Amino acid sequence: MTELKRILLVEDSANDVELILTALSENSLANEVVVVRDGEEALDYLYRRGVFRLRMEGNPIVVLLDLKLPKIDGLEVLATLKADHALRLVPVVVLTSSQEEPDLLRCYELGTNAYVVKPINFQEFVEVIKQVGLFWAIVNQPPPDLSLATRRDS
Amino acid sequence: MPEQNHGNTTIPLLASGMVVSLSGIMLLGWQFNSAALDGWRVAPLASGLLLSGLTLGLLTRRHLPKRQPHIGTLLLPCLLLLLSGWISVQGWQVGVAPFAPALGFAGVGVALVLLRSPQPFWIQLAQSLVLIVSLMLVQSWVSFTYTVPAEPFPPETVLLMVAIVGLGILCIGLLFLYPQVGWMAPLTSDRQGGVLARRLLPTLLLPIGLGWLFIQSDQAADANPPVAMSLLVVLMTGSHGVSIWKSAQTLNRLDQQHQQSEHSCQQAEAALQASESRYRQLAECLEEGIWIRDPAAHYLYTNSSYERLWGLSKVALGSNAHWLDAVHPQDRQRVEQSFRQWIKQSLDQPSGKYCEEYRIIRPDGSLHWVQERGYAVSSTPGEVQYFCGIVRDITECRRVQVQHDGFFQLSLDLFCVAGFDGYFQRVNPAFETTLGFSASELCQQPFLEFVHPDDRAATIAAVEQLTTGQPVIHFENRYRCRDGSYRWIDWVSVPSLEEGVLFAVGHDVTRRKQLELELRASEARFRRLFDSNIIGIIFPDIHGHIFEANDAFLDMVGYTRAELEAGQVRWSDMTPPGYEQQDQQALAELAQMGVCRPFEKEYLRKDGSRVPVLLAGALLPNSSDRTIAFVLDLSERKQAETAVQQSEERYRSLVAATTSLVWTTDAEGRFVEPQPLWQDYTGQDWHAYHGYGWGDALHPDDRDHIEALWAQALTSRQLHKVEGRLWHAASQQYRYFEARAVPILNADGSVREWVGTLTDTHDRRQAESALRESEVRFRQMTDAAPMLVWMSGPDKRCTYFNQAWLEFTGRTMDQELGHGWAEGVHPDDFQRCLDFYSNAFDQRQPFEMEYRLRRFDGQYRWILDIGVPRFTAAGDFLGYIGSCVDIDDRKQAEATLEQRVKERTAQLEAANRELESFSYSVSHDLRAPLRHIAGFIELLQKRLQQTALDDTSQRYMTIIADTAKQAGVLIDDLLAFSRMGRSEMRQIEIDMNQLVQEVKRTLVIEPADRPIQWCIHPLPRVQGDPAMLRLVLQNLIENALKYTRSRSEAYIEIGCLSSCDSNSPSGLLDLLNSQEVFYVRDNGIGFNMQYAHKLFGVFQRLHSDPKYEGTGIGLANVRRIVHRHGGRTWAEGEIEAGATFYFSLPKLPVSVPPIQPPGWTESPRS
Repeated sequence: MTELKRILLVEDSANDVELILTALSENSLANEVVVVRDGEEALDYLYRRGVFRLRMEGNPIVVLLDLKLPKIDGLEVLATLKADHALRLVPVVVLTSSQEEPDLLRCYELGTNAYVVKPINFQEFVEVIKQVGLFWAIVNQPPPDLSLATRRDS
Repeated sequence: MPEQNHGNTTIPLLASGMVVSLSGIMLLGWQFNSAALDGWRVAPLASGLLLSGLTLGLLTRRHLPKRQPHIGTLLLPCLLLLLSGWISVQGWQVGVAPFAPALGFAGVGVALVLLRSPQPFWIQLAQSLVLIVSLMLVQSWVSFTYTVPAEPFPPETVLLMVAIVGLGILCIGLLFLYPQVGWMAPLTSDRQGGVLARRLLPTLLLPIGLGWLFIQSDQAADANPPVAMSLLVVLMTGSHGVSIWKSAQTLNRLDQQHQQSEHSCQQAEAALQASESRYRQLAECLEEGIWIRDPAAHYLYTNSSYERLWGLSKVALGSNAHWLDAVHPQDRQRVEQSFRQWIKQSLDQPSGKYCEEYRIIRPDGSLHWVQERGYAVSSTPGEVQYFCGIVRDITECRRVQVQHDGFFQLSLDLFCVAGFDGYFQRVNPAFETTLGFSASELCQQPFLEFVHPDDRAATIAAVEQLTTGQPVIHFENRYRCRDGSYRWIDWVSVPSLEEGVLFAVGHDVTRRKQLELELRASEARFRRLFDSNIIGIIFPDIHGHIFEANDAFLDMVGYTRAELEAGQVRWSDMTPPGYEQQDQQALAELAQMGVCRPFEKEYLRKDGSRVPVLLAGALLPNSSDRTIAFVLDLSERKQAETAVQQSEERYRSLVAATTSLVWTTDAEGRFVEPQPLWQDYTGQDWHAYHGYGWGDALHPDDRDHIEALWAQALTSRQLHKVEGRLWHAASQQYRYFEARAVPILNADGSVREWVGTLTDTHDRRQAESALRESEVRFRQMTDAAPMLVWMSGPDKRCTYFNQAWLEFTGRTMDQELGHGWAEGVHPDDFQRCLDFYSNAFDQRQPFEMEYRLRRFDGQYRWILDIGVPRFTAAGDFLGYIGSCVDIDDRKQAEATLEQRVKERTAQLEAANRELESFSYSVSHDLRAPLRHIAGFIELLQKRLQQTALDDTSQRYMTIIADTAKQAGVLIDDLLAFSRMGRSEMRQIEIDMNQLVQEVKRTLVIEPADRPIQWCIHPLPRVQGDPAMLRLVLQNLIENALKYTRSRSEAYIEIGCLSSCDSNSPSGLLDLLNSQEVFYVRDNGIGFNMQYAHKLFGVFQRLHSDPKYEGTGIGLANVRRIVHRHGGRTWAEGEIEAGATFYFSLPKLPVSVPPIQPPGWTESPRS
């Protein structure tokens, strides 16, 4: 692993963002976390457009995706991502309050890589975030970055 | 003919006029004493000329209609003859011989007389005389002109010359009086001879002229007479030669023309002969006889066929008499008359033709039919030249036609030619004799009109088959007769598509049909006898075998039918020893006479006992060994005899009590002997009913009618049935009766007496009328009923509809009958309705069906039709009767209800969806703030740990954290509860034992080491959602754990109630029959039964003690899940004495034995 890849956090609630970031930092995950507040921004980031058109190349190592988002909700973002050739390999972890069966079903049908319910208890929450962060950022071998590869090829 | 030769009379008239004028001039000259005219001579000469001129003038009138010559033409010549005589005498006296005029007048006179006659001979004679007179006159004139004295006609004076000239003119006139007769004919002819003669005529003047020249020259000079004579001869020769040459030339030309014409004539004749020969050959070759007759009807020609036809030679045929002799005597007069009339008419107007057919008898005696046609042939219009005729032998045609006609006319079968238009074109007389309708009646309307209505469809089908060219063989239908009855006709029909007709031969099979029916009835009767089992009947052969036997016989001998069919029942085997002789005797009788007299014998029954029987038999017809035998069980003879006696007694009393009575009369219908029965019935005594007195007992209204019938019966010797009313003394009323009678005949055929019966039919008639009344009542009732009622016959065709039906459909009975009603059925329902009806009908099952029927206003309305089969008392199927109710309103209501249910369902679904989105929101949005509170409190606590925090603040923080945690649990429970109500329920067969073990394994027990005694009984299998039921068990067991915390040793029992369990709470038995009841029992703190109803409510908690945490949702969830499975929940408890929670689930459809061993108890968990 030559460089620390970024984590993309898609979360509209500022409180949640803070808690997640706190939980991540408590576990000394040094990766840069890019926070976007809604689905539109998330797609802008991934496709390098809008305010993110000038960002560096490369896909995030993992996308932490809330489902209930303004403008474009998490399910749509997930569907778009998984339908795109260049982005479909990017790991997506759905991070949500909902443990409703239809949500689970839908997300897995769309191809999410993991589905994590945010526990109410903070200790548990921190533990969950830690495990997610550790696993996806460190343990898991990320897929080859297709966006970079294609660009290099061309 | 002289009359026809109307010659030109100009010349004679002119001559007559000139002569008369000349005589007039002479007379005038004589009157004025002209010097030129001598006195005494003038008058007679002039008179002579006048007379002859007038006569000539009169003769020219011969062409006038008055055919008789004028009398003057006789008188005037006579006067002329007298005058000429007088002139001669006068001339004699004066010495002058005036012979010339005298002779001239005499000749002319005779000629005039002769010319009165029209006969050519006399005319020619007269012309001869006139020519002689003319020559004489020429001589006189020449003498005068040449001034030579010439006797006897001296030309003495000018006067005489004038007379001679006059006579000459007269002669010319006379000659031209008949210019085409006698000597004048060749000259006046238009032919070459006449022309030539007229041309050469002027040469006659030549000798006169030459003679005059020579005489003048002779007198004038001294010429040499011989020279003059020679010159004259030369000139004469020359002129004569010219004449000859001219004649020769003309004759040669004529001859040439004649030869040419003769040649062409020969050619034409040869061509004619060739043509005639061709025609003759043609005529000879023809098969038809040909004759040609002249206008007098005599044979000119006959060809050989004609002679062959007649069998006579031409010679023999020569006269009409022979020809007519050959004609058949019956035809002769007609043919002769027709022939003669034609000949006569043809002569007047040749356009007529002749055509006759008649028979001839040849000399060899054979008879032939011939057809003769005649034509008149005329060369010029209006004139018949000859007749020709053609005779054809039509014997064969005639014979075939006669045969065909004979077949057609004489056949007893029905022959007909019919068109595909459905009309007979020709029918034979058999139709009339069979059906009674005349041929014209049959041909006037479609033949289908005569077919029995039930057979029409089949007939139409048969005709359709014929139109495809297929013949129809042995097709049977019924035809209506004039008297209204129907006759069965068996048809064989072939179509002729080219002619568009069909030929059919029908055979009246009514008799056969009747015979069939009778035969069937007879067969049925015998079958009935056979099956009635009154008497044993068997069909054995003489060898011991029994082919068939009825049940009576089988019962008698104790065998079954199966054994009979297997051939195990043999009469020879059943005959016990000792009866062989009787059997042999019976067989001998059978062989000899065909029947055997009844004889007694015994049969061995199957069980070995003997049964005495009386046996009689007969050989079956057409068989030498098969017989029929009647077997009577004699073991019951005694009983039978008793029964007979009783029967006889009964019969006797019956006769005494019978309403039938027998009577006799003499041949004239009088009671001449006492009639005790009559007397008993009517109460009349002998004096009253004696003779014709019986009539007084009849009802007055019937008397005349019955007496008339009786009188008629006496003459016709037949009495079928008489009905009427007769006085019944016993009941003092007139009662209806039916009488029948037959005449008893003497040997000579005369009626000896009448024997009759009289049956009281009063009660039957009453019953009939009651029945009729009942029928009317029923009909009125059905007609009045609001339901639609129909009835159908055994052929599915409807036979009745009540008034309500007809009012509903607005149609007439005729339209609805048969299958007409089905027209009103909605097209979408039609096939289904018909299938259903037919199906039920064929199975004779009652049926109920709903369909739409068109009402009178055109609206289709749903009706419920209920039909049930009808049977007679004997069980014969009669058809169906059905009633219909208008259920359209009900249908509408159902439809509305369904619609409402749909709407409600939609509303419910919408509500459900809303609830779902609500709980989704709760799940998302309610948890987040709680999580935030919990999270930040945690962070805050971490931060504040570094600084000193007082106890109170610390406690507050903890409360906030716990509350947040509790709220989170509450939300999770609520969501789970909500999910239970909404999520899909699976139905799987579940082993409850296993489920309990799984739940127990996941339990978190706190304090972890407290002692718990588990008692888990074997549980049955149930059907349900495993996740949900696991939740139920989990909740109940957790509750049990929770509320036993305070116990030193917890006791938890899980089990299932059974119906035989004595511990089962009463009142549950019903439930136990259909459901499994599980329970979870503990020895915990229990509860007050007063609040038992609140236990399963949401957020209902009975314990406020914070030791027993909980959201109040667990039991609510349990109840909801169990309810969804169709079960019930309840609880029993007592404070501080434990609680029992029950839930029931439906039993499995098929009971499955409990899986594993009897209950086992687990030791307390360490």
